[in-house]
Amino acid sequence: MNEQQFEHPDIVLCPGGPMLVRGITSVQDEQGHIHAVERPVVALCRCHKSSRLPWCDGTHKAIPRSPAAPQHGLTLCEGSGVGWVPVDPHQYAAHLLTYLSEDELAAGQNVLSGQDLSLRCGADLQDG
Amino acid sequence: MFPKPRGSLSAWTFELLRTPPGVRHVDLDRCASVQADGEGDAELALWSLHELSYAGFEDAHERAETHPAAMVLRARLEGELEARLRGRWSGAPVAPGDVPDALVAMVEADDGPSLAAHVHRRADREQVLELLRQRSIYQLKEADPAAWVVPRLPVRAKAALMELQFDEYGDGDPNRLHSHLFALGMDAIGLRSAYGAYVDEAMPEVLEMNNVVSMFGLQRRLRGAAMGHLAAFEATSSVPSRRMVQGLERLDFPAAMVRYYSEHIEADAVHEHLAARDICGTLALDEPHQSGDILFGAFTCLDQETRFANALLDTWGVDA
Repeated sequence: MNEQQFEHPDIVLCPGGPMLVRGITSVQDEQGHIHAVERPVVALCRCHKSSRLPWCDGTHKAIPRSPAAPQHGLTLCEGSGVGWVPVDPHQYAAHLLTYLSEDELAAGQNVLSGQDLSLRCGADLQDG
Repeated sequence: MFPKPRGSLSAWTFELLRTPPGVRHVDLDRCASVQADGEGDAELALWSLHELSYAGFEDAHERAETHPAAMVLRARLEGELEARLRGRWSGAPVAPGDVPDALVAMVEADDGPSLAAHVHRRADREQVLELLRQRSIYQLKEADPAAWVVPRLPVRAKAALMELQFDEYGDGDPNRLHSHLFALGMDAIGLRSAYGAYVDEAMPEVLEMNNVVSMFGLQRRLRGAAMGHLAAFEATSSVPSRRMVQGLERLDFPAAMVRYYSEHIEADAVHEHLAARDICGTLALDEPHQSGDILFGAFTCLDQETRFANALLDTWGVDA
C-alpha cells in the first residue's frame, strides 16, 4: 500500500450523478456566463435539470437512473414525495390524464408547474 | 454558563463540573448510581459533558474536561446511548467493496418525514423560527464533531475527509465558514447566535442527535460510525436545503439565512460523493472490519433525523 500512488483524479463522473471537478477557478456555462469557483471540488450538473446550473443541486435523484431514460417527463408531487414519470413530449395532455384525475388536473394541485417542468426538472419543488 | 438542569442527573453533573477535579470515591460511586429522572435529563448531562471538549462553560472548573468522575460518568452515559442505538439497528453484513452502494441504497430507501418539505410549502414563521433554534444546537458547531476523526483514519480516507472539511470551514475564508454563515443568518433574523444559546429549549431528540455525533467523533473505536453518519448526513442535505431556501423565501426570511441553505445545496452535492466513496468507500477497503459500523452510523443519522422530525411535527400537530 505504501509504495503505490493513490488514484486522485481531477475529474470524476459519478454514476447517475454529477461530474466532480477538482482544482479549478472558473466555469463557463452554456450561455457563456463565467462562474467563479471558490471550493476545492465542484459538482457540475450532468442531467441538465439543476435549478442552479452549471452546479448540481441533487435534482438527478428524482430522475430514473437508466442511461437510456427519456429526457422528457413530468415531475409529480404527492404529499411530501416527488416522483418523475417519462412522457412523450408530444403527448402531454394525454399523459396528464393518465397520471392525474380530471379534478386534480383542473385544480392544478399535483402537477408542479406544467409542461415546462419536463425540461427543467430543477423546478420540481416549485409547486406554489 | 451551564444550562438549566432537567433532573437529578444533570443537576449533579453540573455540581461536579464546578468543583476542582480529584479522585474522590464518593463521586465515582455517585457516577454509577445517580439516575436520570426528568425529561431530557440524561441527554442534557451527556451533552454538557461533551461540550467540555468544544466551547466549554464559563462556570465549569477549568480542568473539568479531565475530571476523573466526569470521565467515568461520560463513559457510562455513552455506553447507555450506544447500546440504545445499536438496539435500533438490525443491519445485515456488507462486503467492504459494496459500502458506497449500500450507503446510497439506505438513503434512497429512507422514508422518514421531511421537515424541509414542511418548511417549503406549509410551515408558518413561528414554526421555522423554532426549527432554526433547535437546529442551532448543532449548526453552530457544524463539522466540528467530524474533525475529531481525522487523526484516526487511514491515508485515503483522511485526505478525503480533509478535502470535505476544508469546504465546511470556508476554504480558508472565515466569512464562508458554515457554522459562521448560520450565526449570521440567526443574527439577521433577530435570534441569538451565541453558541448553545437555545440549549434550554432543545428537545431531548436534538440533544441526543448532538450526543451521537460527539460520541462517534470522540471515540476512536467508533470512527466507522462517525464517517457513515457523515455520509448519510451529506446525502440528505442538498435537496432538503433547496426546499429550505424556497420555504425561507416564501416567508420573507432575511437573505443571510437563505444564503446558509443555498450554500449547502451546492456544497453538499459535492460532499455526499466525497463522503460515500472517497471517505467511507476507502475506509471500508482499508479497514474491512469497519464496514458494518459505517452502515450503523448512516442508519443512526437517518433514524435520529426521523425521530426529531416526528417529535417536532407532533408538537405542531402536523401529520408526518
